[in-house]
Amino acid sequence: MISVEECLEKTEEVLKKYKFFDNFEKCSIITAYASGSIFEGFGNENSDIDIFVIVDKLPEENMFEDFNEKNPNSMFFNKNNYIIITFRVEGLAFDVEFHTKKNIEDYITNVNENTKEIRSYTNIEYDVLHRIKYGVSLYNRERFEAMRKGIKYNNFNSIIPNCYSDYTSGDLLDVKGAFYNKDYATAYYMSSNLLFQTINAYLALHGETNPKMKWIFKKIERYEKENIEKDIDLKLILDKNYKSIDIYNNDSLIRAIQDNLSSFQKLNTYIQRKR
Amino acid sequence: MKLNPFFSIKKQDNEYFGLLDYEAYELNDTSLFILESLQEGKQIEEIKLELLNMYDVKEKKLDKDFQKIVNSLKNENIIVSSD
Repeated sequence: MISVEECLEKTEEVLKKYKFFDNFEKCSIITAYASGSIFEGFGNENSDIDIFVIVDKLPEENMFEDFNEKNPNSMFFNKNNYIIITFRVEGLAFDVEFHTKKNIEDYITNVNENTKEIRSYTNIEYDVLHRIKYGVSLYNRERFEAMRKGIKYNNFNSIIPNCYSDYTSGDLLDVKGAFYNKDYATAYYMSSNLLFQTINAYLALHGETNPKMKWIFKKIERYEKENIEKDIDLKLILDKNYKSIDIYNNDSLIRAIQDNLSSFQKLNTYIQRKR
Repeated sequence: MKLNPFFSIKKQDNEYFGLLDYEAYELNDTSLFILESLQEGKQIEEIKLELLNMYDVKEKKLDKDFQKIVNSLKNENIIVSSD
């Protein structure tokens, strides 16, 4: 597995070699940081390296022309309120996101002051704040550290549990509908999905805020390592969820659904108590 | 007795509600304690005893109030028989 230090070293080498930041001088770069699964301790040699650049003004496509000539496989995407540039060099895949300082400040204010309607958080807004938590500065370290220290992560940790709580009763009704329709395979799938969402909310409450479900086992591992006296044994819950399910046998599915719902109820009550 | 598997608890503005189907039930501290205890697999008599130790109350009075809450939770189908 590639270490954070190796990854950072390679990233800095590539950025220097291609004078990457020089292309965007007109944007007035405030700070830049590397983040993503490797920097969070989850990724591997095949993972992308994510770079976030905070600017006064978003880059225009013509600023990217020189870089594109040297790296013909690079691409520029205008996402309206942010820009993405992707490229692959020396076997490494980079995704570079440009965000304005104003947007980042708004994201941080929304979290710190709890002013935003919980359902209206966008994925990108959430993702950017999560990435700052595990980011490593590449440009103007002081500004980056000041930005990170300015985020109230206790508030941030509550976003997923609060959002999850708004949808739970509807998801539970879906399970019930499938169950009483004797569609046990669907009810099992739905109850497993509900259980995973609940585990995800529980983890977020404990600071494991990575938004991607693909890292759920990594998050559990880290959470368990850092919380030896844990309130709930998540691996035991998942072990029950995965144990000997025969999808051709209704009795087996019914038992599994009941186990899932029982685990869901315990975790959900815990989340409601703590959030 | 056990919890209805399709029942869930939600906190809203520091109040606790029980959600079942499209209905929401306001939960006081005692009913919340009973529901959480059932979730942990405790039996009704065990829960009653714990409540008796928790509150300065006569057994007869607690018995009456406890039964009233349990009956109400049963009527709402929030708690159901174990089989």
